[in-house]
Amino acid sequence: MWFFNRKKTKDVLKERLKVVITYDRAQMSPGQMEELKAELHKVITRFFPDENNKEINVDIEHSDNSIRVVANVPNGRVPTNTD
Amino acid sequence: MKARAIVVTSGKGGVGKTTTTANVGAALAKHGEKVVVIDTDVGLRNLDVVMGLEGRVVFDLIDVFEGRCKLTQALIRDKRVENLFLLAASQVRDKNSLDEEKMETIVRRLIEEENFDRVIIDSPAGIETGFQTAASAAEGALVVVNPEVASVRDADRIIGLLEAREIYETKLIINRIRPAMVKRGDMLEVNDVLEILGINLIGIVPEDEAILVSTNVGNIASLTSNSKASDAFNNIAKRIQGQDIPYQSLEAEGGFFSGLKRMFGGG
Repeated sequence: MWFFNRKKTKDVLKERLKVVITYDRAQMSPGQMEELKAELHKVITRFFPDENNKEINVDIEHSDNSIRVVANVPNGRVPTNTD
Repeated sequence: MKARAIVVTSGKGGVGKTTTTANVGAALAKHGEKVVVIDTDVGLRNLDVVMGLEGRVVFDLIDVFEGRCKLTQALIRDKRVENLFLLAASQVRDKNSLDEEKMETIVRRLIEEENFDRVIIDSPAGIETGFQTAASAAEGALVVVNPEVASVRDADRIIGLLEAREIYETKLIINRIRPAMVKRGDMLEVNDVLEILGINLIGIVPEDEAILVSTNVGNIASLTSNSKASDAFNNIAKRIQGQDIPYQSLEAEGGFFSGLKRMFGGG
């Protein structure tokens, strides 16, 4: 039946609200977040020029009573035994 | 709720703060409390017309602030129910006439000298002076939200500002919910709103023409009408008074199984 496949509009709204409220609580705009990512990328590239910095991931995490900006920077590879 | 002074607020305008203040205030009086409702929307007062008391306003909140009348002279007694009073806002002044310290003094006097059990403060929309003054004297808050994008976002802001003011007894009223839309998945459900805002619920009020019809003629639905919204406002009053009133009907109507039942001619 068609309505089983239809994405509920309230689910779209719920996701949008979660994102916007997270930014509101962090007192930060999505645009600032993009700037922060770009700046972090520059700094990290200066320290680790050889790394593949495309993998840097910056996000706002939101738990019950705190908001944190989390940057995930892969730094080096652990050699794996391929025997 | 332990709080005797409770601010009704929402951030966004037009979500039903004044209607909630009038209906919950009147219901609290109906259920035995001595209640005063205060309009703090200076320059845009409406609690008087919503309650049908506009013809009886002589003195207002600013007159009390500025010493032009005694506090008791500005209290308008609602004759339709025992122990319900209105303190109107000034219509001719602006929000700068408000003063947090004076507001706190008036609320304290209402409780200590005039023996009110409950002071319900209707806040203006927005997050500035008007809201801040309304919240300054409050120990608890009723946050009114409609299940739509702007209202939920603004409610979250207001909840943060209430916390910053150290008002912790903050309860949520979801107003104007439309069960048929919820059932189709086109309106946030109660649990969605609670999950996003993270505060405790105290009432769910369905969209109901009876509210507009009552307001048109200056009646207060929670005193006069037998409607779902009227029941919801009375239930909120009882929950404020500490009664454990189950939430009904809305979820039942919106649920999948009751939908099936209806389809097959049951429920």
